[in-house]
Amino acid sequence: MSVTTPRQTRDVVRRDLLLALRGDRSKRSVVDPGLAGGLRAWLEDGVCALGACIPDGGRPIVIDKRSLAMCAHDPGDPDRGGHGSPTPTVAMACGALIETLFRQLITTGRIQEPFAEARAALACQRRYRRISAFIDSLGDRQRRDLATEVERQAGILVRLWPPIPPRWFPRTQERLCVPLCGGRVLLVGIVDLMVGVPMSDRASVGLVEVKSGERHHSHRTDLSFYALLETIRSGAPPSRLATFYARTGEMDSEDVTECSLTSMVERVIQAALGLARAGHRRVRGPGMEPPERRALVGSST
Amino acid sequence: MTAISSIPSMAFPKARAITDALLAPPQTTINLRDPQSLRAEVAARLQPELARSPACGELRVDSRLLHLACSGRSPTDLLGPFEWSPDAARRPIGLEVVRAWVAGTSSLSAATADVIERIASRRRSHAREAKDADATLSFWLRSLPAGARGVVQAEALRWATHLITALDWPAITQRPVTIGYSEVVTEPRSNVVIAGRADLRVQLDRGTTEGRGDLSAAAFFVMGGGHPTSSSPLELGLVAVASALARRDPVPTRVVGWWPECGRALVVGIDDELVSSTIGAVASALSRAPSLAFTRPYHRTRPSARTIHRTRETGATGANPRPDERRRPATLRRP
Repeated sequence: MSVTTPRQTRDVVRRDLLLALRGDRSKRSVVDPGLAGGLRAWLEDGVCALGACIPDGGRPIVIDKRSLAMCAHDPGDPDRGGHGSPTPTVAMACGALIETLFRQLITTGRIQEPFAEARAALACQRRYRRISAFIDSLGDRQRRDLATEVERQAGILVRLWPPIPPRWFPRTQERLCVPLCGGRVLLVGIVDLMVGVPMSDRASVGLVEVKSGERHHSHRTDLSFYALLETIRSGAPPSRLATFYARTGEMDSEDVTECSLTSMVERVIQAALGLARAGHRRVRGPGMEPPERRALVGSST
Repeated sequence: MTAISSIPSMAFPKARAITDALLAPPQTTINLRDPQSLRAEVAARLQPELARSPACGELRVDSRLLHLACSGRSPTDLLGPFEWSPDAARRPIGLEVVRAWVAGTSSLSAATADVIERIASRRRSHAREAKDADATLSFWLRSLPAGARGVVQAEALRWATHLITALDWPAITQRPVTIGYSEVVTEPRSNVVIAGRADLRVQLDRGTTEGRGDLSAAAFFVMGGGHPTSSSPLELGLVAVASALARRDPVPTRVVGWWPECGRALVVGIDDELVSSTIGAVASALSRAPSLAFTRPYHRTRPSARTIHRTRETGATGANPRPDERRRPATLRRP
């Protein structure tokens, strides 16, 4: 009979999380060298008509997870404010704080004062300026409640996330950008955690998103979109997609299939055409600074 | 005609394809004009733009300013005093991390933490010398709370990972390599500074020179954000212009640009035409925003450059020059 101590339990959970992230190596898909080229060509064909709508140097159509949801008439994840909320909410602030704490944990391996550290992290980043100001504007009670929830979720992160092996090359807030139609259409995304480097034989990259709210069907769509961007960017599809829920400590993970990539291509094309019809108004996250400035800068930084 | 090519996005493994493009022997003769004649052209083309506005502060023309000017947008936001931020700090810290990794550190995360700690504790007594890049970075890092420092560490780690995974390092480190290269050329009468920088400078095998003059034997590697645009060749050419004006080292035969966010690479051959076009773009950048440019000083401090030499014979790694041994920026002289 084996007795499991709390420490052992934690180690088992951590190991399982890494195993879920890695998936079954023998089942990883073989890289089809023509797949990424085919997906790109399909996308280019689908959006080529937009070339005439946007002059050289004109403002491009930017497609991210929010514009995808909007074009599919999906109200979006309520914990992220959907895509119509004009102002940040407490749920969104919690999401941003947990996102940045997760980044800190993966990078430094520790979180000591969750709420204070996360606020300092948000305050030094331009893209979180509005969220940061919103948190500052909260009343004492609301801020205390938010701090309590952030500390609770940070505890789950620390308890369940093991150090990522250095050979996996973990990188956080990984930016993806796929220009189409000569840069007139931009597909953009930021993945919370990416592990592994693309290999020529088997799919070997894992994408992880961290959510502070409840499960929502749009989370899978977001990851499929990122999988498509990563496939086109690197030439090989990722092997594994995972969503970690810091609220409960659960993680949903799945393998990437060709079918999910091709269905996302159709969705992206429809979104691009829909945005063009609507005068390609940029859909922006309510708490975010405009990301187009960042996405468009092509100079060395 | 300037040779510009791209590495197919489906090339696998990509690191090998980029490294092969970077290390390919020089194919064309580079007969750039002598530095005096080049300086004369720079002075002649910049002078009309400079004459329009009085020089109140130093204007640094770098690849970002060039990019904004070429895309027809106002570089207003670049013209304020330079301030450190996680985005600005990731490159200098990331370069140090890559140096540590090349020297044998296995954990990039631990190396990044070490580098930040080292920079933060560096030269405390000089931390108030605001003109020194190392000192201001050190001062800024020390002022950050733990959470913000975590963001800096994460940004630097991501940047370093991009550089490390972009190249086939065993092939690179067989040659003399400079990790983090910058050349700053000043025109004293106008306070214009042409700043070119590359993330890597690699010495190449010299090609055959029979009857074709001297073949340049260096190549630059530059990593960019976002995606390449029509002005990218000019932005990549800026480091070659700065290098050609300074002429301390051989002018690079090519510059390879890599945009990890979109997985695209450009290979730009350096020739007189590209140098001329780049100088024209610099003049154009000045003409687009002269009033803005000279009303507020725009200072950017120079990142440190260190060199790792690994000879084939011994595999020994040479020491980097100490900061006080670095040469002063070259100066443009009147023709």
